[in-house]
This record gives sequence, C-alpha cells and structure tokens, in this order.
Amino acid sequence: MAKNNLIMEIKDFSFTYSGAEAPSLQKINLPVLENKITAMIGPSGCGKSTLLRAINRIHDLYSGNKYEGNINLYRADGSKENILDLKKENDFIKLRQEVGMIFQKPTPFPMSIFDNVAYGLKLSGIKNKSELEGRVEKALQGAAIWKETKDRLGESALGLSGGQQQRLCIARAVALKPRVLLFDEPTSALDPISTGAIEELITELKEELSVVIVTHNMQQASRLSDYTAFMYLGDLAEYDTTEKIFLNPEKKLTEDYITGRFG
Amino acid sequence: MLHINEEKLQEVRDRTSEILKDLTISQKLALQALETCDSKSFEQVKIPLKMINKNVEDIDNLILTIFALYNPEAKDLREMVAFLKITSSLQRIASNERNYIKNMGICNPDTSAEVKEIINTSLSINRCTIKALEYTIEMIHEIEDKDKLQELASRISVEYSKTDDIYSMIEKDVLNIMHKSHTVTEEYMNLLKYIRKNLKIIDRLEDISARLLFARIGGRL
Repeated sequence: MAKNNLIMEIKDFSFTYSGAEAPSLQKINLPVLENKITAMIGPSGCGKSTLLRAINRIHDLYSGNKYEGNINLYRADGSKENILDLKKENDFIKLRQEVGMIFQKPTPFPMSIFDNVAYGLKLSGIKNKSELEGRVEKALQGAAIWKETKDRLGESALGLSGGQQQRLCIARAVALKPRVLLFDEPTSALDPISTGAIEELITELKEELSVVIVTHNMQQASRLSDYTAFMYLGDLAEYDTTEKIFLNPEKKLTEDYITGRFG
Repeated sequence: MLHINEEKLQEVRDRTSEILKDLTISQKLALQALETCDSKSFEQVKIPLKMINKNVEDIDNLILTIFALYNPEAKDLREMVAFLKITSSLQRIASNERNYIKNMGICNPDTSAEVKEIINTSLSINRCTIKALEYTIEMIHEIEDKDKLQELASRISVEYSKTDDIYSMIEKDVLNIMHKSHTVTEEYMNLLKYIRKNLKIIDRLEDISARLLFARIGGRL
C-alpha cells in the first residue's frame, strides 16, 4: 500500500500548452486517494480537464507541451513512479492501461460490442479466446451492461443508446483492470436515467479502483465524490473532503462558486 | 437516487426510531416507579434520556449533510424537513419527561392516600403515551403503505383523545375533593400542573405523526 493510501500525487505541477506564453496550470498540488472518488470542479477554462488529461499523459498525443513538477503513481509495494518521466510510446500505453480515461462523449469503436471491450485486452497481449471471453463478460458485468448486451455481443456498438455506449466505454477501460479511472464530464451528454446508472456504476467501481471526475454539475460532485478540488484560473483554489467543501468551504471564492454567486 | 443516499435517509429514520425507543423505555420506567410510588426508581427514568440531546444534534447534522451533498427532492425533501421538525419535538418530549419525573417526586411512601389515588388514575395517561410512542415508531418504519400510516396516525389521535378525557375526569375529581374540604390546596393544584406536563408528550407525538404523514403522503407542512 502506498503511503497515506495515496494512489497518485500531483506535486508542484505546472503545464503549458504548445505555443502558449503562460502556463495553463500553475504549481498544482493534489493527492488522489486510493478507492476514493475525487471530483474536480470549477468554471470553464480553469484547467480541470487539462489537469485530468495530464494525469494519463494524453496531451502527449500532440507535441510541444511543457510539463513541470511531478505526478507520482504509487505502486502496490509502496514505490512510486513520476509519470512525467515517461518518454517511450510503450510506457504511455502501459500508463493508460493503469490510468484509464472516459470522455464526455461516448467513443465506442465502429466494431462489435465484444470487440470494443476485447480491443484493449488484445493490445495488452491476451490472445486466448476463452480468456478473452471471460474478461469481456466480467468487464461488461462490472460496467452494469452485461444483461443488456449478452445476447447481442456480435452487434455493432454504434447501435447502443448514449448511456449504454458510455457504460461500454467504461467496460472497455475496466477490462484492463486500471488502478485509476479518469472521467471527463462523463454524463453531460446523457439523460437523467442514464446519468443515474453511470453514477451508480462509478460509486460501485470505487471498491476496485480510484476515480477522478471532472464535472460542471455541482450536485453530481457532491453526491458522488469523497474529496473535491475547486480550481480557478489554473490554480487549485481549495481541496478538502466533499462534505467540508459543500458545507463549510474555507474560501469565499469556493463558496461563491458552489452557491452560484460567482462573477 | 444513489444507493448511498438511500442509506443515509434510512440512517436518519433508524436514529430517530432509536430516540423514540429510549423515550418509550423512560416512560415505562416512570410508569413502574409511579405504580409503586418508589421515588428511588425515579432516578432510573432519567438514564435513557441522558443522550437524547446529543443524538438529536447528530441527526440534525446528518440531515444537514444530506441537504448539502445529496440534494433531496420531492418525498426525500419532505421527509428531511419533517425529520428536522421531529427531532425538535423529540428534544421537547425528553425535556417534558425530565420535568415530569422530577415533579412527581411528590409520590413517596408518605404521600396521602387521596393524592396516591389521583396519581394512580393519571397513570392511564402514561399508558396511552406508551402506546402512542409505539405507534410512532411503527410509523417511522412504514415508508410505503399509506393506509397503514393513516391508521397509525388515527390510533395516535385516539390515544390523545383518551388522555384528554382522563385529564378532565381527574380535574373534576380534584375539584370535588377541594370543594368538600372548602379549601384550595396547593398540593392538588401542582399535581394537576404536573399531569398536564405529561399530557404535552402525547400532544407532541400527535405533531410528529402529522409530520410523518406530510413526509410520506404529501400536502402542506
């Protein structure tokens, strides 16, 4: 177990987009605790998604971005690795298996439901058919979409509803047994029923892994998360337990944002 | 609603029910003590009441957290507002119970036979209160069955009406005694005052049942 149940630790982290003069994130310090849900809230442009994407180095799909500081990923044996030191494409793939990402818009691949989930598993070297089938079923069950899909695994994933597609994407990420799952506004494109299903799923997933979620929905942050980080203009303005942030925030800025008296 | 939110709501119900159970135990102990006019047993009556203020504060804070984190709506919102009012009533019931038992220290081996008889008659009020408390606990746990809720609420109302009648009879008896002796005795007047205090408990239980009907069925607070 990593120290203080930390799974990740962001230390003095700054990030500057390629071609930008000023950093978008400045000296961020944020712990990510094991088997907890951490919500990131804040107005548009405050750097929530930028920080989330830095946590699994998705920014590296484009060159020229500048990182400073550390983002440590703790191993089960207590050792840590600064993911900002990763350079090779293979290391990035391995990182993204350990730190998965779910996007705002569901992104199923144009292939069958089964192949969507099996894709990452095959990439990670699993070739045995029965093992693949077992892992796919388990992942679909874990993402609470098995009952709806078990009789149509060979059908195109594009035929699923938005909520089902999002759960399929979660299944695809869960299949790789990640240690951290990052959610970037995962329900903003979904109706309340699908949103409820995804939220229920996220709370169940935290038994197995740690979650960081970016959301504009204050109610979602309050009812889902254990810890909340409020970001403003590229700074981490306040971080605490969700109960503290939503009941007795330390800073007026946080209170104004949460109560809608902002600006 | 998330599973965890349901659990929090259930925790509020369970904790409230625990307080009502403590109040019931206290009422039963008071009844026993007064049946034997044993002032030493009165001390035991206060034991279940000791933690009530703290337990009520805990429930209020839990409700505050539910408001802040889970944004209850419709029946969940009604229930949380109702329980905030219910906890306040529970605190007052505990306070009435404490005052009642303190004042009923007048019931001791040296008490006159007439006063003992009046106290004995008044114990029917305590029995009604115990029944009303048990019905209230049942109401707390009855979430869906609206007919059952209405039935329990009317049973509480019946117990309340009974206590009203019993008190009128006691009042009449006391006035008769004073009339016969041609004096207004302070001891009797105080006794009536203490019994009236006990009546307030069941009055508040009727309030609680109305709040529970609002929570589960709807309408206006």
